[in-house]
Amino acid sequence: MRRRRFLMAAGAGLGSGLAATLSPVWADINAPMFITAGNRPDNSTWLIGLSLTGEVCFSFPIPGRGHAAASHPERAEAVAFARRPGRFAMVLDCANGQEIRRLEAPAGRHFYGHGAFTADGQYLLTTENAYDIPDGRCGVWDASRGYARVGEFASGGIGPHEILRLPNGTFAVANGGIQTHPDFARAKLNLPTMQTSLSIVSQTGEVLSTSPLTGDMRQNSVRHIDADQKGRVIAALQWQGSPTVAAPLVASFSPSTAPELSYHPKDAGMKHYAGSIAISPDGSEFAVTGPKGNQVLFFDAGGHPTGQEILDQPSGVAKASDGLLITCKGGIALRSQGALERIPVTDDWTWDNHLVRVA
Amino acid sequence: MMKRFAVAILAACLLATSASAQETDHGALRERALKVLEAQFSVFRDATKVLQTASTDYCDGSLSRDEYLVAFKDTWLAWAPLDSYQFGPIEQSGAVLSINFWPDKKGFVGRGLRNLLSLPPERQSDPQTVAAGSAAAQGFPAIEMLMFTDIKECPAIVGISGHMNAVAEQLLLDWFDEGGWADLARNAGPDNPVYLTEVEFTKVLYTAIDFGLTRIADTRLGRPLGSFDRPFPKRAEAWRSGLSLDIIHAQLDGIETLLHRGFGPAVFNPSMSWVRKVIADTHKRIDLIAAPLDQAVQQPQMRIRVEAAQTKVRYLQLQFDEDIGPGLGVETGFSAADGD
Repeated sequence: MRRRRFLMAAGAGLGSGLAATLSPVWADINAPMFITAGNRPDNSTWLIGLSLTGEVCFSFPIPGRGHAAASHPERAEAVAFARRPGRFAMVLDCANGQEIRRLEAPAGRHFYGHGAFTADGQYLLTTENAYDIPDGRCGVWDASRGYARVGEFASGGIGPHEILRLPNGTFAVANGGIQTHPDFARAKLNLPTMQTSLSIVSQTGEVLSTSPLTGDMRQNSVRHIDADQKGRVIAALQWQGSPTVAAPLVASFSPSTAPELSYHPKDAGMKHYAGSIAISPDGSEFAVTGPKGNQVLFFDAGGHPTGQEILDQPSGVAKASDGLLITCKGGIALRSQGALERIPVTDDWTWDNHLVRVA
Repeated sequence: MMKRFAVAILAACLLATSASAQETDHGALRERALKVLEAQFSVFRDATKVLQTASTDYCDGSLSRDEYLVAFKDTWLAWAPLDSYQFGPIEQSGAVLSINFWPDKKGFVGRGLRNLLSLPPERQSDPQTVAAGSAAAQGFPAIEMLMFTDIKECPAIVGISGHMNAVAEQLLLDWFDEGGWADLARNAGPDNPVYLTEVEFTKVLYTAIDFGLTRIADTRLGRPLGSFDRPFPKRAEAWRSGLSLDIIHAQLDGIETLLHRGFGPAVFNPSMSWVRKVIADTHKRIDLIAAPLDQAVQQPQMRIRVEAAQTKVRYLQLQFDEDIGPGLGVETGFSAADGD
């Protein structure tokens, strides 16, 4: 009940934040800027701000491997998450790369590595594993009160991974379907019975709809997502069934229709693993990275395959001003007008696992 | 002079490292390791077969409780080495929970058994019924609860052990039948859906050993230890049957066999004899505990011995991270291809 009340307030647009007047806003930042987690050869782990030209704007040491980040809709703040099964998240001031706050997952929960802000910026929602139950949860943190933990709600499935705010203010949650437990490191515990799905949740914490992948595809884990302006969600999948089976790695979810799978002639080269996914700014194409298969697949807006690029360990992908920016071994690559430009980044970084545009 | 000497040592070290990394014959290591795994999975399959027969005999009165518990113990100890191999067929089949549902903080084993025992006896003894029910009521913790509480054990143990035997048979097939996981490991290459290069399977085995040691130090010993003021005796695995420490010995034996017979000459720095001595010392430290684990964690003097065993396991892990892994040519650093 308590959680609902807090979120109702968010829905009513209250308390959008005194802090906004005190902290830098995104317009103060030299745009555009991207955030990714990075690791050095000495096994140190960092959070990196990157420019479109491959300059490191800031680097901030973090206590373990990072995964993804969420950017505040107004203030120049981003929350970076530990890689699963991480227990920390850090709020950064993106103007100077300094830590503002550190979030600890509550007892019996760990982060999955993703989060998203409500449209008014008051609440941060984080995907979490309630591993002893087991159940998927979205944690609710009040950004206007120093990111106090104020509640949680069910995500609609096991293993909620990426959460994304849609244009209408609701959220898409990718329920990967895989049960894990910290006592078993990263082992998958329920593959024969796993059920992956995409849920749409309101910002008051109600699961509005859940779209499962059915039949054999229930083992095709929905993990990373992007959405177009109409609220259609596209998903990068990770096949968990028999490795000798050929499986598609992209699904799209539109309101009130069944999920559609997209095939690509180069699917087999992905090693059953689609990493990140992003739609280009003009909506004409989307890219899916294959860090295990060392290639990026491209599709048109309708989900038809349009091409492939060989790239060493492509990890994150995010919208750039006129194309898509991809992190890869040794640097970044800019996809624009159907061409791929490789841009080296100095120092020996290994990227972990997503790229988030913050400004 | 000093400086030149240091440079010479550095050069020699670099040479030694790169030479040794190149010398690891991953194909030979894989074949030796697969023999070890096949033997371990076969022992488990055979043990479950014996347990299935023993369950039937015990329930019709032709086998004593003590004799039955010997078969039960043998089977659990046969599983212990396999606990380290949570990839491939074990992961694909969900066997890790169906064979050994632990930890069980929410009491799922008891709940699962209540559901099973609400069925007519002929359904309880049917492995298919067990297979369709909760994973918590399918493995060792379920049989243990049936044998060591007031719940009526027959004929549910017949169905549960029958299901375990079916899982064990399937695991052996999924690994070693033609086209099984062993063949995947043998055919590493660009078209292999799992292993692109031979070194990847070595890395998986190496990770399995590291994971097994973590399970012993952090989970099997660490969970019941809790803190000095607040130990958790009932978080010890198999506390009802008193098998907690036997399982740890058996898992450690499994790790030692894979290292000695599987990795063999690929481990040379520190030497295999050194590694085996540390493992032997760990066994001795576990023997020194001299009380069931759930009791030991509650007594200050005994706790120290549990912690000493834990320390030894962690020491071994440290050596793996620092020397053995790099010596094998296994990349232990980060890779963007780790995924998530």
